[in-house]
Amino acid sequence: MNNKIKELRARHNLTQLELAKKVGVRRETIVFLEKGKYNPSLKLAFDISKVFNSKIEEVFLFDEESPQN
Amino acid sequence: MKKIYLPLFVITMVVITVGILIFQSKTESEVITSKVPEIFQVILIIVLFLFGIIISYYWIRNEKHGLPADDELSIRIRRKAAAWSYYFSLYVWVGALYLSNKSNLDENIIMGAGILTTVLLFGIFSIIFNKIGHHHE
Repeated sequence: MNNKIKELRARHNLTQLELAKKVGVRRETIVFLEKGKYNPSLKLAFDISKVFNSKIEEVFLFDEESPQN
Repeated sequence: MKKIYLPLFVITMVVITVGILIFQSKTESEVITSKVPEIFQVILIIVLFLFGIIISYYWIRNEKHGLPADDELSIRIRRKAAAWSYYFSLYVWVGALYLSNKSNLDENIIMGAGILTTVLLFGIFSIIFNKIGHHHE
């Protein structure tokens, strides 16, 4: 599962530390999420999407919906 | 006691306990530095103590930034590392039983080495899973 956390974080002018504080996790967890090394729980996915005022499916993408770069 | 100081406390207790086990098995005239197993165990104890210091440092640093010491990822990694170190430690203890029958090593030393090896395995797997991450399986 890929995600757009890094892109959305930049758009909202948030550092990894600030995002971590908002969703109540360690900064290392945000790093792992951005690198695709961790798939979050449903609650964490919801919390992150809420911070970005987006739907979950706009933040987290399944492999077949990965963005074309 | 604050939760963040728990790893430091646990590692210190392990070090003290294992140290007592090792040194209790010695007579007054024996010199530890001349025996390889004891040197190995002392080094292992120091490594594990430093490992505990590093973990405590990260916990304290996170608390100072207003972040939790533990979250869902760190808990899952810890559980996975504990499971893997348990499976490997079964073989370690079988090896320890074999050694206790076949060698002249003091049983306290073998027990101490077994405990330390299990803790070391947990540390190694924690480091590995912190590098490769965790995906729901």
